[in-house]
Amino acid sequence: MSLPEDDEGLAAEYALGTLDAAERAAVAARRLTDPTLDAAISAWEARLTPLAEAARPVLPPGDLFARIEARLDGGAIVDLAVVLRARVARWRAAAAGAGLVAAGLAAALAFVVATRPTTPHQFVAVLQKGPDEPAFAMTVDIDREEFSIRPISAKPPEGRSYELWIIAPQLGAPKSLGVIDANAVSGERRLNAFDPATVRDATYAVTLEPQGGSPTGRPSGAPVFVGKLIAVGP
Amino acid sequence: LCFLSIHRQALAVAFIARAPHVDSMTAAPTAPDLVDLLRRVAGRDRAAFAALYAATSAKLYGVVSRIVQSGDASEVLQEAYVKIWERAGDFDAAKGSPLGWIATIARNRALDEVRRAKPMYLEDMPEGFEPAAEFEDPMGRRDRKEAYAALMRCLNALEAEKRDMILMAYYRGASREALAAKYKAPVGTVKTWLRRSLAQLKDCLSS
Repeated sequence: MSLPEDDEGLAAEYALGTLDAAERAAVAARRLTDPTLDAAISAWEARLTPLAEAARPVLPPGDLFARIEARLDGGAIVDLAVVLRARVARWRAAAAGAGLVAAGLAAALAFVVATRPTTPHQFVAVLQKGPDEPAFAMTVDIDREEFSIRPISAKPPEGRSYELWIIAPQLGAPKSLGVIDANAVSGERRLNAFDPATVRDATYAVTLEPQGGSPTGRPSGAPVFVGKLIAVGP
Repeated sequence: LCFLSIHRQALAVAFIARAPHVDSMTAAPTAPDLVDLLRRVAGRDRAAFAALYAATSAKLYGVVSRIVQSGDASEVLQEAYVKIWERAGDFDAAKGSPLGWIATIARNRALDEVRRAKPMYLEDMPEGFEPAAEFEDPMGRRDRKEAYAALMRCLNALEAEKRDMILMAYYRGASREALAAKYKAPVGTVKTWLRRSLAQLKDCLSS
C-alpha cells in the first residue's frame, strides 16, 4: 500500500486515531524503522495528551486489577476456542454475505481448535488488510517457540508467494518467518531466534513476494496483511 | 445513533465555562508521584504497580471505554496495564507526562482493537456525543494544567466543526469514515480538513 507523502499529517492522524486499520498498521510498522516518523508521532501524542489527561474518569470493573495481576503471574487459562468464536461471530457480522470469507473463518476456527496448544502461553492473531477482511489466522505457542499460520481468504496471484515477517523495534528490519504455503497449514516453524517478549508484542505482517520468497531477505514492498497477537492463555 | 448531535451553543458555553483558571491552580496535594511510581514499577515493584493502578485506572478506563465497546474495554485495559508493567522502564520523564505516556499506551490499544474489530458506524454509538461530557479540568500538576489550557485555547481557535471532529476522533475513536458520514462529506475531504486543522493546531501550540 502506498503511504501519503505528507508524513507530518500522517503522524498527526495516527496520534489522533483517524486512520483505518491498514493505514494504522502500516504506520505502526513503519515507525519502527523510521526514527523521523516515530519522533513526529511521539510529538503529536504529547501535543494531544492533555485531552487524555482531562478525560472524565470511569470506574473499571472491580475485579480488573486481580485479572491483571493474574496475567502477570501467568494465571488462569482462557479457552482459546471461546475467544476465537467471539471474534468469528464479529467478523461474520462484518462480512455478512461474503460466503467465501465466512467459510474461511469456520475453517480457521476449526484449525485453531484442532491445533490448540496444550501448554501455556498461547496466542492467536488475525492478519488482515481491512477491518472486515481477515486473511490469515495465526497461532503462537511461546513456550514451544512455535507458530502456525493458515490462509482464510488470501490467495497470492499466480507466480507470487506470501511471506510472513515479524516486526519489532528491537529487531531492526523485519525478519522473515518464511513463505506461507498456498494451501492449508504452513507447518510449524521455530521462533527460538526471538525472546518471548518480542514474539508477544511484535507486529506480524505478510508481504507479496516473488515466488519462493523475497530474494533479498527484506520485504519487497509494504505489508499487505498485518496483525498483532491476542493472548488466549496464561 | 445521535452520536453526533451536538448542540453548538451549549457546547460553546460548556467550553467557556470550562476555561481553566491556571493561576489559581496548584498541584493536588494528594496526587501520587506517577514518575516515581513508574520508576518503581520498572524495578518490578508490585506495590508500586498496585498504587499506579489505583491512581490511574479510572482515567484510563475513561479513555478506553469511550472508544471500544464495554465488553472489550476491560480486556483492552488489562492488556494496557500488562504492557505498562512490562514497559515501565521505557518511560522518559524528560519526554512527556507519566499519565500521558500510559494513556497513550491504553488509547493505542483501544484504537487497534476498534479498527480491527469492524468499521465503525454511527449506529454503534450508544449515546449522543457531547464533547463537554467527555472531559473535565485535569487534576494534578501546574504544568499539565497549563498544557491543557493551551491545547483548549488552540482547539477553540479552530472552526467549531473542525474542533468537534478532532474531539470526536480523540475521545470516541471516530475514523475518517465515521466523520465523513456525520458531516456528509467525502472521506478525502475529511482527511483534508483533519490535516489542515491539525497543522493549524500545531502552529497555534508552538506560537
